[in-house]
Amino acid sequence: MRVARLAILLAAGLGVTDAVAQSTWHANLAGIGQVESFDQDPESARFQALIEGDVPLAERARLHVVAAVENDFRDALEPGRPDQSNRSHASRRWLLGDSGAAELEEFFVDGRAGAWSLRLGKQQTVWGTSDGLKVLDIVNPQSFREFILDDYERSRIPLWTVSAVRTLGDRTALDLIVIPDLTFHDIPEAGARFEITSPSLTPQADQVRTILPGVLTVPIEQRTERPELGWRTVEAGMRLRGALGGFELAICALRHFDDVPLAKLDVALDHATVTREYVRSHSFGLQANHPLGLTLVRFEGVYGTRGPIPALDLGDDGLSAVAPSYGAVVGVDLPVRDMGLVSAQVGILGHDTDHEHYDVPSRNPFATGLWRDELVANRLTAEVFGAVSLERGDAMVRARFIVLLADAVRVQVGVDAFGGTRQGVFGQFDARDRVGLELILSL
Amino acid sequence: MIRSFGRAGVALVCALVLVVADADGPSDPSAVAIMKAVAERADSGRQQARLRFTLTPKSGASQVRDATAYRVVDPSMRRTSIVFVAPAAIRGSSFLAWDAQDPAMADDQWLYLPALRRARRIPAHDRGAYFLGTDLTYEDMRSMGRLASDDYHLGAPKPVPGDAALVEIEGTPLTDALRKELGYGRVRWTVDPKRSFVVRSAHWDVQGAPLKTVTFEDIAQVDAIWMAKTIVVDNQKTGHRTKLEFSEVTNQPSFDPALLTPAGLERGG
Repeated sequence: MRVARLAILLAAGLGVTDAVAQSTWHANLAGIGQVESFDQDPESARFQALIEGDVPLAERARLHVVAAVENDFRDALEPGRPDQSNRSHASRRWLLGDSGAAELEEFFVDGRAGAWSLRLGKQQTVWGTSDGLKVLDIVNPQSFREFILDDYERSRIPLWTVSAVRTLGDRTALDLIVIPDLTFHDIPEAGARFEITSPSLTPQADQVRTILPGVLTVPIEQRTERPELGWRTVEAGMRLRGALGGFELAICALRHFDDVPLAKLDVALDHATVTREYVRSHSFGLQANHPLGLTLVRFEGVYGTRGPIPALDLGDDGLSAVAPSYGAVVGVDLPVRDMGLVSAQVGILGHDTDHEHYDVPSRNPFATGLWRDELVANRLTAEVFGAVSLERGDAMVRARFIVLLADAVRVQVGVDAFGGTRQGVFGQFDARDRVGLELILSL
Repeated sequence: MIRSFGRAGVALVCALVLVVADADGPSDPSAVAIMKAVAERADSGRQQARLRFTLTPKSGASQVRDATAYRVVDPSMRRTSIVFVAPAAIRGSSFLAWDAQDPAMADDQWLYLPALRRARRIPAHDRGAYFLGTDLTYEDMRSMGRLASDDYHLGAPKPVPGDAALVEIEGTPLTDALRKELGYGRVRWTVDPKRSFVVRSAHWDVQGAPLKTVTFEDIAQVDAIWMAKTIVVDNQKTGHRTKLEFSEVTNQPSFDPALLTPAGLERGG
């Protein structure tokens, strides 16, 4: 009792009660129903609750919290309980049975230290401005449980990060980040609704047959090897932003692990092991944009010193599946009404390799289009994104139409469609077309 | 007007301003003097206010959007940021405008959408485009913009029947290109010369049809600076109405000026 009284007095003294009184909290509750062209169990239903809060801590300091609880009633996106071996313990979700999960998605404090603006805690760090496909947006890993159909803000996996920004002038700022959180892409496991099978993205079983035919006759063990966090493995990066003659420019560098695991094959007489391990890399990026009439022309490019190609790695004795990676995209944006935008992009993602043993595509050129607009007196928000692989001709369309029924009630109709060869980045999901209806309540 | 949010009247008027000669002869010197006084009226170098947008279509229910607005003015640049706090659909969306005091320098704008977690630069040339579903254009909202520009030819001030304290000044954009850029073929401002304040303006479109009227209400001094706390825009073409209400106005607030940079926009208000 005495302790409780002391705590209350202390809290009052520190202004905690004021902070709580001034804090703002919002919740979004979403019920999602979808029908897919998938021939087995085509219907799905999900529920998401997102709670977001801001708590003022002092002048120019605040705590920001985003927590999520969700349930996939058909357990289709991540069947069973994902092992989460790609995530650090501090960033793992709390699994609620096979179909549910809770997660502290963001939890950070904003403040200042002299001329530096600090953000400490679990957060997203966004580099690059490309739409739909991430080129320079390499700091946070991504969840691919819905491939690239998930909402943009929730597709990145937030990381525990120390972020500091120093404004050096009107248009110049230096960003420094240190990330003591070795978490990598969420890649759907076998049997998941969006299991990745394209040879452009993941090693194929027939690679083993081609190189080592005998391996298929022995048991193959799968395991994941995570790097240990330490001073030598902590991820860190910097970005310098500025302007020059109408150009807005940024250069960036990141010491990190590639978020895609390398699949390393070790063969013994009586068994084989495929070990997923993560490869250290240094990535360097450049971003630029310039207005041109009513449009904005933008470019971004990235080069990584090492990254896994979609092939089995046979280690020092055989074939290495590690090569430099690169990406580049040029885009044109045309603003339309309100927050609306029409955008077109062409780009390429690839690896600097010409593998002589595997039939592995070394580059994936692509083109995309985006239209986002607010219609019917801002009561209808439309967003349509399309992407086509210029290598194989496969394509996808993601359309969302959000109707504002009241300030706190929205209905979203979503249509996702894929087409083209099953070997393609998008065509692999040709049987995953879906139509969805989402009801969102904001409290 | 545009110098303060309230005086946002200003904003609209922004465009207004000033003077010079064209094929119809020089602007009226007394009109130029009045509008110059409006443009140069005392202003706060730094201001913060709560801003409520009420959008009412010709038929149907109104939409209300609440925001916090920040503004910093220095000799080279006028920086304005609007951070939306409600409703949920646009919560966290922010708009940042840099309006160069020197017309020869380029303006700049950025939009931050929380769904993308990044500030997106948008071309600043679209001065006549409408801002976020309101009946105000980006040029209007950037306010203060281009007070020294030569956008309009101004006619002689005329008395307002029934109100001797006011005068009417009519302006036409100097070129066809300016008409198209601003979206106005003609503007008539009703000015209170004593307070150097525009209290009403009427706008015609490029074809000469009535477009909208803007009324500046609740004109009062905040920290010795005149501002209109309510602005009502009636769009005569669509029947749509926009009402802007300013509250909790603070001159010389303590917010971090870095908030009005692209990096600050991403860090939020």
